[in-house]
Amino acid sequence: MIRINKINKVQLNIDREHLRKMGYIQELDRSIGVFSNFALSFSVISILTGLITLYGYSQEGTGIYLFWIWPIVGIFQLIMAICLGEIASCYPVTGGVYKWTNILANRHVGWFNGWISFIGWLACTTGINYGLSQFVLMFLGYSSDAFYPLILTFVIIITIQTSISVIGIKLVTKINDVSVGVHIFGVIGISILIIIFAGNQINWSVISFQSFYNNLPATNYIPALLMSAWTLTAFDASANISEESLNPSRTVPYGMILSVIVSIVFGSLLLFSLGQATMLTNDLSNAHTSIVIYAIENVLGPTLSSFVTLIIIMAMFACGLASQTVTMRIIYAFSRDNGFPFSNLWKMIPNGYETPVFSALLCGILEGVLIIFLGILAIVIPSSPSIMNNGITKSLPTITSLSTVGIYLSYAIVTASSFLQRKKIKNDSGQFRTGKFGYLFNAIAFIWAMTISVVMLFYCNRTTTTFFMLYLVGITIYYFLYMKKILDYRYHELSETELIKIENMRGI
Amino acid sequence: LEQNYYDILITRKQSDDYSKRSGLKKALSGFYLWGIGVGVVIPGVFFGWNNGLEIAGPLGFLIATVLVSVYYIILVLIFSELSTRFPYAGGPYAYARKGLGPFFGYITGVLTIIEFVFAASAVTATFGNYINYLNPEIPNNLVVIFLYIGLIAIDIIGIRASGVLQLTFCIIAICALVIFMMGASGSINYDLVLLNQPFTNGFRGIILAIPFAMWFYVCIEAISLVSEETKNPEINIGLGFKTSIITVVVLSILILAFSLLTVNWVYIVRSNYPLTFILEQVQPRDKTLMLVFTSLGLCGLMAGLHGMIIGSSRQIFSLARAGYLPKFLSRIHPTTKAPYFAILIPALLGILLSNFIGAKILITITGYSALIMQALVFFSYIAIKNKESKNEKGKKLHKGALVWIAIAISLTILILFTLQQLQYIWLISLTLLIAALYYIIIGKNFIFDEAPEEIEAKLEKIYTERKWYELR
Repeated sequence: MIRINKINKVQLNIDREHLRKMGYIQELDRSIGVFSNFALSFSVISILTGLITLYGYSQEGTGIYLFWIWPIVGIFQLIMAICLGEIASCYPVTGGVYKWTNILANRHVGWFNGWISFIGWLACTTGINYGLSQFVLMFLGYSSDAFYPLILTFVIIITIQTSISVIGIKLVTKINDVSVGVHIFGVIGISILIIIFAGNQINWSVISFQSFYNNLPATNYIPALLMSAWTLTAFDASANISEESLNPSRTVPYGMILSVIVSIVFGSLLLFSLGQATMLTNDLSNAHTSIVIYAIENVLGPTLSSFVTLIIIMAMFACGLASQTVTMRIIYAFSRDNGFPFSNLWKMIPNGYETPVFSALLCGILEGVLIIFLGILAIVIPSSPSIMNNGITKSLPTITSLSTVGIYLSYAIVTASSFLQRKKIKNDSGQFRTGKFGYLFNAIAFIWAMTISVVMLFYCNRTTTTFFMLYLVGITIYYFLYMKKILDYRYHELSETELIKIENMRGI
Repeated sequence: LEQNYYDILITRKQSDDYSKRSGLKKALSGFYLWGIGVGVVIPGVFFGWNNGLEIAGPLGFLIATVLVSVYYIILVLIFSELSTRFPYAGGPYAYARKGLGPFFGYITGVLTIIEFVFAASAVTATFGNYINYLNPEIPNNLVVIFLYIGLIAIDIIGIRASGVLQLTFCIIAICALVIFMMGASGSINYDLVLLNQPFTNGFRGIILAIPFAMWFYVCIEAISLVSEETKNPEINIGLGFKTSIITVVVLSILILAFSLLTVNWVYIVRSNYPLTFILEQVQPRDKTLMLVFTSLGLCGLMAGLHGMIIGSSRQIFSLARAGYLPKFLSRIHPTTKAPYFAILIPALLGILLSNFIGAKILITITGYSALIMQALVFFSYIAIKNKESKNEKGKKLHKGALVWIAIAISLTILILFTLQQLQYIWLISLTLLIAALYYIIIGKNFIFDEAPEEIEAKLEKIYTERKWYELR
């Protein structure tokens, strides 16, 4: 919607100098403004994706009285966004979490954190596209738990997204700008429709705190917590495109915080109205596919519910695309520091392109690999649903909880290292500062992230636990065999004058 | 002659100052133009076209629609080239002024105003019908007046606000059409088209149905009328025109196909709200769907109404700015740069006409005046092109053959149509006669040379004469 027509050259030079100070040259196309930056984070958070795909699963523990989990998670995540925003304002480089840990702690911790964040983002993208393929099948009238059609749809979706990513960041940005409209209008539309056609039967007990509070042991809240925590995360997306944003020191933190606030507001609206729809639906056990769609169909009739599905599909597609863009940037930033196997390939930006093409391809392939691997793993582990043995609709929580663990653990590590390095942050401070509350916010954010990752790792899903442990062992072995030497080696860091020379040589 | 040439140079500078003082604000990008272009024609998809079914039969009407679609695609190519070249609020008037001289420029402008105002009043009438459908107890005149007040208020706030509003309406209307297609897709039956005389009245029917097929696309010229308010006109106008026509062609053909394939066409002929009627037939039990669709459909009508008000106001504004119409009509608000009198007048006319004339006549007159206006614009294209070949400045117009095809189509339709329906012609002729008299008696004497459309036309003449002078 809002596009920058006259790119301010002075600002571009300032941004370029800032980047040079951190030891990089400007290779990517810098053209993203505040709105598009917000749009990317908002699209990745994507209330329509997270809340709707996991709504059915999240009712397993608490029933429909799960509303209050959302604002609670929202407040903590807002604090997290403020914290990360401050760091992003100091160090606006592509790579986000990984780079920050690198700067705030050391390269070794940074490297580990990069891998943790990477698996979180990869699983996030996979989860979104997995949910999307289920919805597409549902929309086309197939059963959403047939294995081969599902995999086929999944592959087609990934192919389309990868092609769009390869074409360039400008197209992705445009799609994201539209996606914001789809999300906001979609949520408002769905909610208004449900609330109007619920007639006089608006049921305020959906948000009654008592029904939420009085039941059940703590573990029953985990599914609802997973829904909220997985949905309202991944706003470090904004940070991952900081090398493509104008004046990132201001743009990125505001993009992040704004996206969280807007998501909290519209997410509450959506949850409230979904609660109304489920309340009005008597026989939820008949729902073959998604509880949400079943309930909406019950309230609004078949035609409107398939229209709503269409809107949700559009939102999910944009969300998957945004998420893939970010995952690509993480691979790119990682291999720029040679932290990835075959780094030279992934960091290459071929002539005539503006994006790291091979890392887009890698990202697409890894999504497919991850989903198959999780399926096989789940077969080995007793009593866990796998896509290979009729548990297709139930295996989404596995992927999403893996994603939640990865992303929250990486946040925890960053906040821990920033807590230990408050002085450094104060010295390098950018245009967004927390001031006096810095320590407090930082401590709360760290404790929150740590809690969520521990809960999701150990109490949610066995497949996740196993996979994540295996993954950690794998990267540790890789670290000791190969990576430690490289990270220890003090290679010559390029000075600013040398960077300017390189820039002039390559005509950037 | 040399003296004359320098005069014009001075006038050019003066005219730049003049544009700064009385030009409109540049605020629209390609996306907004798409919204205005699609929004202004989208009511055509919601109603009006079904009158043509009665005359031509389903297959005959389909043929008429395809013919009109081809015609309008050519028209959009020509218009986008012209309005990129002359991005003035005058639109058709500016082109005809340049190609055919002041009198025809003025007449083209008046025809455009007639087209937009009559279309707006047809939409207004239907808006009342929709309100009646939703709740018969609400007095629809009151609703219409409130609607007009709201739309006018937003237009006076400025073109940016109008663009946002138009875009929102337009997207909601497209959503409504998608919902319609989804609702109808369940009961498609291919035999329905062939029942009950697919070609009523044969060839004659096809010709007579053309204004109703044109109703799908009528007023898409609105984009050229807001070209003065467009940022980067070289890129955005072409983009806006082309994306809009693609969207509208796809939508109208799809809606027509879905309607004809789901319900026996005999029943939808007489309906004031055909799409709602079809949904009612297809899914009789789903009251929610009907209510939602009709409410969203209202947004489509509002988009059309709003686009038509914008269009006619710009045309009136530019004619008044150049002195053809009374000067007070070209007054613009000092900060928002909205021509408020020019916005107010067509809106009042629209409300008035909708109360006195039936929708069918309104649609016919709209189509007829659009056809004459378009033929005049095509001729002026040819004239501009011929003049241009004499001097070598700048980028030239280059669509020779296409324009002749367009002229052939529009003249054929115009002549055949005139022969078939003489009863409506007197109304247009009378209006044009009054307009012409006004020009001869008053308007001619007040033409103001500093308006951008006038200066553009004058410059051409001077270039030619200067060349002749140098040759001597």
